[in-house]
Amino acid sequence: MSPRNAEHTPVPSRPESASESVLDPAWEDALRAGQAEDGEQGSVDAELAIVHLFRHARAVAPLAPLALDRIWRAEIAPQITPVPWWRRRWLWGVVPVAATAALLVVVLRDPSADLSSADAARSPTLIAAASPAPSSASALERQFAQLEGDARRELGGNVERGRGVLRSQLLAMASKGDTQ
Amino acid sequence: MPDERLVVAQAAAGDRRAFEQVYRAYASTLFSYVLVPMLGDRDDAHDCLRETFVSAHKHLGTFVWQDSGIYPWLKTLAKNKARDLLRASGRRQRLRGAFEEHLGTAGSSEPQNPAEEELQRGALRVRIDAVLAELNPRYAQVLRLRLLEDRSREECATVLEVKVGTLDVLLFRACKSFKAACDKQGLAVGAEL
Repeated sequence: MSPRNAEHTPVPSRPESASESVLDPAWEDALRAGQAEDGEQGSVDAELAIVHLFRHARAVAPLAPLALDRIWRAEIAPQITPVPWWRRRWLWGVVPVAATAALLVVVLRDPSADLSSADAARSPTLIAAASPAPSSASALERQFAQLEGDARRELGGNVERGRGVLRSQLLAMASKGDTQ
Repeated sequence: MPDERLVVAQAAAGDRRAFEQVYRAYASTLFSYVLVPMLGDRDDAHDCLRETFVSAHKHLGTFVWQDSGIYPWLKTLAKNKARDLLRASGRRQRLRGAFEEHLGTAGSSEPQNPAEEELQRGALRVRIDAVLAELNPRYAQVLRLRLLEDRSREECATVLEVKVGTLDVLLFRACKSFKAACDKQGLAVGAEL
């Protein structure tokens, strides 16, 4: 060892304590300082591995309980928790497309084409099911006849009332015009 | 972990709490005994630990129970993740300070559980003492005092009767000497993964 080495104090800045763990960067700094003092250059990786090995043999690099917990909560749990169906991305693409398609089917489909003549010929039971029975048809006609009269009377009355209101409003406007 | 087989089966069936039990049982050991030695970097070990358990959760259905439990399977996953990281980021650059190969030569077989990992660490200490016995006594002393006994630089300098700055040179030379002794004994010091 040269005398100049004995005079130099290269790495005093870092606090010395038992907390210097396996991978503490201070070890690399110390090795580089020693290498420089020895007049050498280049990588200290091999020497650093030796230091790490010794420190590992002394006490392993621990994963603190808080770090263990944080990795689970912040990094692993979110990745392994299933996403609720309403938050799945594909849903937001599929639902509008399906809804649009359903709407198009309803709009473009001709209701009268439900039963084509050919289908009707093939399926008489379907026709029977689709058309109301004679008794129910006549009952509907009677109900319609009763309701029709009342509805027409009510409509006529509404029209008359509307006319009266309009007439009075017109007269009021005309009388205002005369006075001005 | 008590009832490990049951817990693993529950985790494989989708029970998140069971999977968390597996994580809490083995994450620390994988970090300290597998990932840190392989990567030589705390942040990389942290990232690989996360990737290991995310991958374990994804592939737990393919795990076939064995008497040695789930730890060897998790360890294989962790090693694969570490190798992937090394490949992705440039192996040589990432091997700074990695010492996994030294551990591999310390034990006779691959540890199958956390207790065996600790036993292997004991074997490593014996192996280190054997190599130290071959070294210049001054080098052996600085390695013991500074790295194994965790003495401060000032304390080491006092014991070795040198100035504090000289200690760094001694330590650097001692590390080189230790590596050379390992090479002489056929230990794979500094070998790539």
